Parts: sequence; C-alpha cells; structure tokens
Amino acid sequence: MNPFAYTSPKNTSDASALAEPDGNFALPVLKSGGMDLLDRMKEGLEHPDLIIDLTRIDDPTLDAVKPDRIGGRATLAMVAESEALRKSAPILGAAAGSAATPQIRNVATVAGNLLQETRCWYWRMSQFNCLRKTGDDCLAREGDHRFHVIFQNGPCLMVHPSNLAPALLVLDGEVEVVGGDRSRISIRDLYPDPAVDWQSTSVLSPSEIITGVRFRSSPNSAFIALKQKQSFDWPMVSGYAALELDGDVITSARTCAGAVAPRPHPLPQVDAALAGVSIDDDRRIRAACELAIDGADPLRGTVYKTTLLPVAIRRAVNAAASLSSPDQGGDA
Amino acid sequence: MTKDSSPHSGSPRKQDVSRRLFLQTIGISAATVATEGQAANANAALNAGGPAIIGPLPARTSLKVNGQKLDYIAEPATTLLEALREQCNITGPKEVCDRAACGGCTVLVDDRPVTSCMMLALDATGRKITTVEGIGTIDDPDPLQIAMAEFDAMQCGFCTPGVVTSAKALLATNPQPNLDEIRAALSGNLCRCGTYPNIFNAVLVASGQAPVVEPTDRGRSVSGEQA
Amino acid sequence: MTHQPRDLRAINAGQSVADHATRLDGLAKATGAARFGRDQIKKDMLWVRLIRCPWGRAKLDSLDRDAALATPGVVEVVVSGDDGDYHGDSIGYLVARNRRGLERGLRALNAKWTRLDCQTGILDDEQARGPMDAPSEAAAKAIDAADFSFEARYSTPVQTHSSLETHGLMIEPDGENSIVHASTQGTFVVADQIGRFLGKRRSKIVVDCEYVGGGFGSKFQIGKEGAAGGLAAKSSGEAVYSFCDREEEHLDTGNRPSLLCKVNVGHDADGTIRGARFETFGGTGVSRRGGGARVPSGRFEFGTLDARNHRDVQFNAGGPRAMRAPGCPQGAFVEELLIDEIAHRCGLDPLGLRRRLDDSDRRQRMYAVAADLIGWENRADTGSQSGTMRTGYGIGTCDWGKGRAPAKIEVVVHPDGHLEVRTGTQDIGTGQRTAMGALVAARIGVPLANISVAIGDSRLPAGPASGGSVCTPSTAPAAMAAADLARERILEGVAERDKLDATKLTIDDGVIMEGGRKVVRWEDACRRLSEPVSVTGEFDGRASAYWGEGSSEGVQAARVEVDCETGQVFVREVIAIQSCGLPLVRKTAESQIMGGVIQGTSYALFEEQVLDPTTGAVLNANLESYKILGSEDCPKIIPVLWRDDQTGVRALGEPPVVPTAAAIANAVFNAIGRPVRDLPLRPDRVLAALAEPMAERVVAVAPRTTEQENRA
Repeated sequence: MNPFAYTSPKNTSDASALAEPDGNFALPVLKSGGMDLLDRMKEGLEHPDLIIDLTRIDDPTLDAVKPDRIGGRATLAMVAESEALRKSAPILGAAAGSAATPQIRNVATVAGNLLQETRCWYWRMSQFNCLRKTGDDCLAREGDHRFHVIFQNGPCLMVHPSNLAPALLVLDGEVEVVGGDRSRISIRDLYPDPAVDWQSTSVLSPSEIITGVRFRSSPNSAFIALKQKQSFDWPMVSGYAALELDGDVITSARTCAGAVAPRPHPLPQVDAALAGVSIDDDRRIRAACELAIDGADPLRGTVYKTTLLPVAIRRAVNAAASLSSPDQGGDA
Repeated sequence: MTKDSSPHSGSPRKQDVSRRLFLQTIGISAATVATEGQAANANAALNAGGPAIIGPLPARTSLKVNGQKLDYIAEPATTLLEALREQCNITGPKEVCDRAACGGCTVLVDDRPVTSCMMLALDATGRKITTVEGIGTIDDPDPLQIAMAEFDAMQCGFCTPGVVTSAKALLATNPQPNLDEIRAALSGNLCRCGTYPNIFNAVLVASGQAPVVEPTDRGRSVSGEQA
Repeated sequence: MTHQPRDLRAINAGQSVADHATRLDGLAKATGAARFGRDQIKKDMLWVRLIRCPWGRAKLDSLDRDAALATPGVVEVVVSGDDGDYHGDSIGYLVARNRRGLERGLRALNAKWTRLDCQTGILDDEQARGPMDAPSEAAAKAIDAADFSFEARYSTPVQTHSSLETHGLMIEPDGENSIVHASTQGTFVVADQIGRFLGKRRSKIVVDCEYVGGGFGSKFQIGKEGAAGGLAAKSSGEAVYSFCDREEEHLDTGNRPSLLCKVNVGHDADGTIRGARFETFGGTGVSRRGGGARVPSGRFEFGTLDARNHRDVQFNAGGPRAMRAPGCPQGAFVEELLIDEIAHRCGLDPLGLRRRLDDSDRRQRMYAVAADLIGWENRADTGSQSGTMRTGYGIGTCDWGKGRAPAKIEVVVHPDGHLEVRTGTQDIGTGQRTAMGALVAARIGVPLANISVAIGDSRLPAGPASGGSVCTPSTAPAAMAAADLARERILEGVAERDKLDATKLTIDDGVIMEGGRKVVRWEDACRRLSEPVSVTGEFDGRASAYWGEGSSEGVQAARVEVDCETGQVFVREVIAIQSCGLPLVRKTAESQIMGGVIQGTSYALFEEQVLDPTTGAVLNANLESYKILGSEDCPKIIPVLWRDDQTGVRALGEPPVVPTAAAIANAVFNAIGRPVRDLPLRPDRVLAALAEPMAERVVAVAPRTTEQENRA
C-alpha cells in the first residue's frame, strides 16, 4: 500500500466534502468496511492518498436493520442475523449470509457489497491492462473465462460480484444517497448499461454515499447459490426469486440471476411464465425456469453455467414457495 | 469512489487549511520515522472534536489488546495484523494469505471475529481487540484450548490461533452449537494439514457436549451402531 | 470435562504404543505461544523480497534502480538477470528497512517487460496431444489376445503445496554466529545450505525450526528466498527477514506436477488384465525432470506391461518439488479408475475384481474391513441410479516402501527424574516431537509427564529431514537405543547400590521393580545422580535385527453424493485403513491419516493451478481461487490404524494421501455411470460426463452382487 492519510469524519456531509476529487487530496476514497478497498490497494490497483473512514459517523440510521430498510453501513452479518428480515424478506438474509466468510461478514457492509469491484482475475491482477481498465481488449475472451458471463451484455465479460444487488432487484429495491444531487436511485439504475459504460462500478459520483437501501417486503423470497466449494467460495451461478402467492398459485414472480452477467440480470421471461402457475406444478415451473437462459450467449468455457442457471432459478422458486430456509444444493 | 489508479507521485504539496479541518500533511519524501514532535496522537484526534487527518506520516496510535493499552508509532498504511505482529510483538495471529481468504489472522474486534489483515489498525482504535493470547495462555489455558490439544485438533499449528479465535467467538454467542453450526462458524478458517474433524470435536467437548464419534450426520459408528 | 477422549474411535484403542498421549506442543499451538520462523519479527531487521517476472516468458526492458533506492526505507537493490521464464521467476532482490519500504521499492522499480510467446501446459506438446504409439511387441500381442481392449486418457492438474506458513527464513547475528530461524523440513539441510550465502562456516550457524507451519515436501531447500536472505545478511551484517508472500508461494516454491496418461489395455470378460501400454507425460514447468507418476503401481496384476514410457514436458511455469507421495496420488487415480472401468465393462463388482488382481494378503483383509465400514452392500450398480442426488462408492489403495536414514537421539536423565529427549530433527506437524517423547517414556517405563522433548535445533543431535516418510521410522530406533541406554544406567546404579541383579529389574509406570516387589521410585533412583546423565542412541540408516523390515499398506473407501443437476460432488465419508507397522502415538497417527485424506479429497474436488493461456501468468496465485478444502467440505473420516504382526515403525506420512482421490473418482463413476477421467472433478466436468452416454458394458452378463463376488 502506498502512503495515505486517514480521517474519520463525524457526519456524511463532511465525508462527502472530503471525497471531492478536486479537494485537498488528489485521490480521496470513501471506506466503510474496507474489505474490497484494501484488496484493491494491496493488489496495487488503487492508491488513494486519503481514506475517509465512514465507520465512526454517529448515526444509527446507517446501521439500522428494519423490515423494509437497511442502513448502508449495516454489516452482512447483521443482515444475516436479523429476525425482522427473516420474516419480511428472507432472501436478503440468505444472500448476505451466504457471502464470503463469517469474518468478512462481520466487517463488510451493505453499501460496500453493492459497490465492490469485479472478481475477474484479469481485472484483479495489476499486470493485466484489460478493457475495463484502460486496455483495448477483454482479456477473458481468449483467456480462461470459466467464471465469466453467459450473457454478453457488453464488451467486458466480467460477472457482477454482489450477492445483495440481485436480491434487492427482485424486491424493487432502491438506494438512499447523500452527497450529490439526488436522494434515491433504484437498484436497476445503480449500475450503468454495460454496453455503454463497462468501466464504472456504479453511477455514483465520488462523493456520493449510500446511506441505506429500501425494498418491498416479500415473505416468499429465496436465494440459492451453486458453489463448487461449500466453504468460502464465490457462486458459479446464483438464483433469486420473490413470489406473490394466492394460496398455492403464484400471482406474480420476480426472478433474477447472479454471476452470469456484468450486471444483476433480471429474468422477465421467467417471471411471465410463472404467473398463474401452481407451486405444485413441477412441470410448468421447470419449463418456466428453463427460459432463464433465453438470450444466453455463453463463452466456450461457460457453457456449463447455462445448465446451472435454470436449476438455480428453479430451486430458488421452490424454496421461496415452500418458505423453507434457502440453502445451496438442496433437492429439486 | 475514485476510479483513477495512477500511482502516487510522492511530491510534497502545500495545503489550504479549511475552517473545519485540521490538516497535518507532510510530503512523503521525508524520513520514514516520525519524531515525537512530528507524530500526533491518533486516538485523541479521532475522539475529540472535529475530524483530524492522520498521516500519511507515522503517527502515535493506541490499541486496546487483550485488556492492555498498547502504544506504537506507525503510518496509517498499516493493517491491524501488521500492527499486532510488528509493532506490538503479538504473533499469535498469523500472516498467511493477506487477503482475508484463509482466516489465519483472525482476531476478535468487539467480540466478533474479523480478518485482521484486511482491517486498518486505525479502524480498530478505541475498540476491544482480543487475540488468541487473550483467550488463554500456556499457564492459564481456556477449556477450548485444552480441548483442542486433547483432541489433537492441530498438526503444524499455523491455522490454530485463528481457529481458536473463531471458535471462541462462536461459543460466546452460541454456547451449545451443533455440528452444522460449528462447520459454518469455521468456514472462514482454512487448515491445510487437515484437522477439521478433530476441531469439531474439540469445540463440541469444550461446550460440554459429547464429541461425535465420527463427525457427520450420516453413516455408521465404528462399533456398527446406527449413528 | 466429563468425556474421556480415549473412547473416541474405539477401533484404534490399544493399537499404538501411546494410546492416550496428547501432542506435547498442542497447548503451545492452541495458545499462540508457539513461535514459528515467520513470527521472528524484530524492529530493526531488514526485509528482503525477490524481484519477479510477471509473465510466463518475458524480457526485461528496463527498471528504475534509482527510483527504488530513493524510496524511503530501501537499502539495497540487486539485479542479476534480465529475462524471466515463468511467472514468479526472479531476476534479483530488494532489501528494505521495513515492509512498506520493501513493497514501495518494488513498485518504484517500475520494471518494464516485453512479453514473449510461451507454453502453458502439457497440451502445448504435440506428442502429448496426439495419438498413442503402438505398444511393444509383447504387450501388443497380449492386448490383441485379450477378449476386449480399449484406450483411455486421464489427466491431473498442477497442485501447489500451499503450506500456511510460507517459505523463508529470518537470520540474526549472535556475536560471531548466525541464528537462522527457518521454515523448513530439514534443520540440517538449512544448516548445510545457508553457509555459502551467509559467508559463514557451518560451525558458526545455528538453525532453529522448533515450529514449522507445514511443508508437504516443498521445504527441503532454502530456495531463492533463503539464498537472498543469506546474501543480504552477509552484505549488511544485520538481522534479515526473507519470507515469501502468498502469491510467491504459489508461483515459485514447487508443486505436484500435472500428468497426462494414455492407456491402451486388453482385458478378458472375467476382468483379467492381459496386457497394457501406459504413456505418461509430466508437466514440469521449466524443470527438465520431476514429473514422473507411479503408474501402474505394481499392486495389481496387469499382465504384459509396456509401461516405462514417460516424458517430462517443459513449459513456462514454476517447476515441481516433491509433494506428499510424489507421483503416487496421480498414478493411483489413473490405475484405480482404470480398474473400475474394466470392472464395469465386465459387469463385475470393482471390489471383487481387486481381490482377484491384488496379491497382497494384507490388503485382501483390508478390503473386507473397508467394505464393512463403508457399507459396500449399499452400493448400487454403476449407472443404475436416476434422480438428482446419486450415491456412489469407490475404493483406492496404496503401499509405501521402507526408506530409512541415519539418526541420533540424545536422552538426558536429570537428578529430579525428569527426562529430556533431544533431537535436531523437525516436527512439521507430524507429531515427531510427541512420538519421540512417547517412545522413550514407554521404552523406559515412565509416564510421559516425566518427559520433555527439545526439537528443531541444529545444535541438537542430527536427524533426517521430514521426507519420504522416513523420519519417524529412522528416529524411532535411535530413540529406543537411547532409552535403553538411559534405562540401563539408572538400573545399574540401583542394582549396584542395593546389591541386586540388574537383569531382573523392570520399570513399570515410574516404579523400579524386582519381580512383583517395588524397589524404588524412578525419581528417587535419579536423585542419587550427582549430575545429569547424557546418553545418545544411534541408528545407522539400515534396517536392524530387532526392527521389522517392510512397507506400509492401505485401503480407502469413499462414499459420495453427486448432484446430477449441478455436477457438484459431495464427499460424505472416507474409511482410511493404514498399516504403518507399530503406530507410536494413536492420536497423532490418526491425524496423519486424516490429514492425508483431507488433502486427497481437496485434490480430487478443488485444486488446480490455472495459467492464462496467452501470457502464462498464474491466474489463481492466492487462497481464494486456488481452492482448498474448508470446514463445510470435510467428509466424515474414519482413520483405522491397522495392526497385525508387522513390527517396526514404518512409513505413515505419505501413504494416506495416495488412495483418496482415486476412491472418490471411482465413487463418482459409480454414482453417475460415466468416468470423469480428469482431476479436479469439477461440476462442469461432471455435467459434461453426464451428457455423454453411459459407460460401455462389453460383457452381456447380469452384474453379480457383492455377495457373489465375495464367494468367488
């Protein structure tokens, strides 16, 4: 790590002011948990000269976990352990609780999870100058891309790393923002269109801070991660489902795919096919979830993910329908 | 978040002092070791009035570790693990991967396990830090540590401090964990020698429960009885 | 605590010299009191790191020595080359006063490289990719005469040792001497190798390695990081700390080489193997050797063999170093899966076929126990299951030779009755320390509580490095000899003083007895010593009269579940039967077996080094994408210490890692009906196999039940 100064502002306005790039420091950066920031600094990808620590801001709304709102500074552990969320939106606790390791979850925050950078190994290794940095080509295309996309929504083949973003997407989530001109951004709009802007992590300006996320309640919501290792591992593919039920009929469904596209990838065709379907109608549910790979354009090395995705979506739908606590690799 | 990742030029700059900020920035081409006069007391600055800016030069820092107040001087670009091992001579937590992937550096911060390699020391000031040394010593070991030894839950021993720390935190919040809960609590601690089943048994016994003869929820016991 | 640990694993009770002994340094490790080489951190020491090539092959265009030297803290920049042949190849080193200075100095070097074309694996080799050569005349004749024949191709990846304590050493001056705190598998290897870099004679060098955080075969040399440390210590005269970081550990400290094995085999309808040709290619990176695999192993009858066809393939990656049972886990994977494929083709139970092909009496008995413990009778016919979760069972085997090395052990008897066992050899987690203490205690007849063991110091008597599984088999006879000498000395003193016949005296649990009569307590007998008594036992490295010659053998059985919708493999249980002659300490012996099984499971499911095909950069030089088995992936493991009439302390460290991946691969085959012939058994590979037709059955018979096999 290169040298940097460190400050712990007392409120978010001071923090935002300090984060202005044309302020007193050339490269100020906001830090909540710092899990991803420190990784990038150690890899030599980023050399901030001022770290603006957000953990000492005395504002309980930043940490609060409520049935319809979570503070941006709430840790993944707090989200996973919340009884209130287990009832109102179990998909969130499941997604948070599946991420990383217990140690990381005790520090990593909701805002940090939404804004973390890709795990693509070409991006993470400083000797590679890939398309997403300042290079001309996506190095994964002709390289080893086994963990990369099946939806080529842009020239960069990274998959979005956040466990929480797709969960918030199916819950029509939005982030609360301070430090800029706007106060709310929907999750859908938080990440730029990868066909147009494949370099920016989000649409936020450097001084904007996510102070919270809001979402609708969905008691029948579930998350399934398909991982190679059951201990610390990133998902190969993950499935998200939030259902509205009337008896045992799905009146409306919202599904989303994780780890298959450069942004959280909603599946409207699956949603449409699930509407009106009984949760006991295995055949129709299976057929609906097969539509998850409509439009998929896998790479040579990610064809296997096209097999996995309908399974992940179907298991998430079944888990959501049965209200059982979502876990990976469960029975069909 | 800034996107620019150009390396720091390192040239000295004169800064404007704003009304609300007290700046203390000196070019990094100066000496690497701060003198008493140059170093500021990081903790006081953090807890007193307006936000102070510490560094980038080394500053006096204070950490509360295993009940003791430890003072040292180091630059903000210091992780908690580095501060413990290199400044405070506390070498229980190990440097293994330096990327939070293995748990070898696990310490408790306010009773929660964290990977100290991925936390800045300055993030931990004012908080309660517990390392394996604070859980028990050779002369006064914790029952968990005794159980770890009894059940041969270590081989080379390099992962052991991190494992003990994670397990201790588990038992503090869940005094009678079942096998699945133990596995989950330890999923951030890698052991290359391969001692997991013995670790599980040590944690079970330390919590006053019976060990699993062979730790899983299926299969037959060695004596032929159904598990 | 109310539970008695001795009740655990009743199957192993009474099978070792010290059934209840607890690892002597267990508490030191559990409390963080154990200090490793990596923990030797002094404020004023210098930090050393190598300057490394970031690409598979590249030429250095420039680097900015001045900028590096101008970086605060940097003391020295040594550049000795300008090309790199693999990611991690070093061209010099940097010395700095502190960690940040080191890092920033390396960055300030701003090394500019021109990347060159490179090779990244065995499959870059045309012959490896291509078809098999024809078998030898004899083998061809045998294969043609067989009822059936087929060809198959198997592969295993590069596996890194991934010790949690990285490679390196810390050197500090001590007057005229240098103390070297090393992370090593060979106290005396370091002592011998460091001198020429340090510029010091052997007599001025002390090596301390009391605690070592893993090695698994990679720490038999001081390496480039050790050499650089020595040079920096020499040029500065100061304390120096040179340890690899995790990335370097993956790049340049050796590995288990990859393997490609082509097989052409002829077999009869009853499973008899008439003949086979094996062609193997070892992926040895930039090294010219070290890629061999032990296949076939010799444990099974293969008829007319054409098997010594091996070539090492060079490419631009770090070269191999011995890794726990070099050549064996990969060889076993090929051989055992091949046997299961033949069994399936013939409609035979693979356990039954092994019984016919394996002439080891001991393994025959082990097969029966393994089958019983795993529940082999529950095994469904290969490929007969449908549904999402399918359960499979598989078998693997091992054997290990009788290597020995010279060793000396000193025992000091103190007047207070305390016994100090002193050995310069090292305990890298094997439990060597405890084994020596327990053996001396048992041999003399005193409780283990009377014993302390000093280990891992070059000032102590010389012993072997921890490799080849020869260490304990070599130190044990020396320890016994020393124990005998100590015992004799004390008994002679008692006999003389009390006018007794020394040959009639025994020591039982710390009490010296004549027949049934208590003569004197051990402590009281020792109190008569005017000063400590030191004796040294030696073993000359050859099997001696009272020490049984011979090998170790093992059989493992695995039960897995495969999720056939996702390709995920879950290893549920492994029975691991291992003979090792006379086990010394039950708990640590079980741990060695368990550790081998866990490493074998990890190798089967997760581990592989990944190189970028274009640039040769290693893409997963970290513990996140180089995946090692964690707590949630760990199977139930039953380690079985096999005792029969074998005498002598035999190999235990390596054999248990050999059969596991083979057993798991066989279990997956059983579950899904198609062999996955490539490690690791990744979900994408399992899914690809499931998309293929079921494995061929060439003999149109109804599959026999296990019972029918057992009777055959």
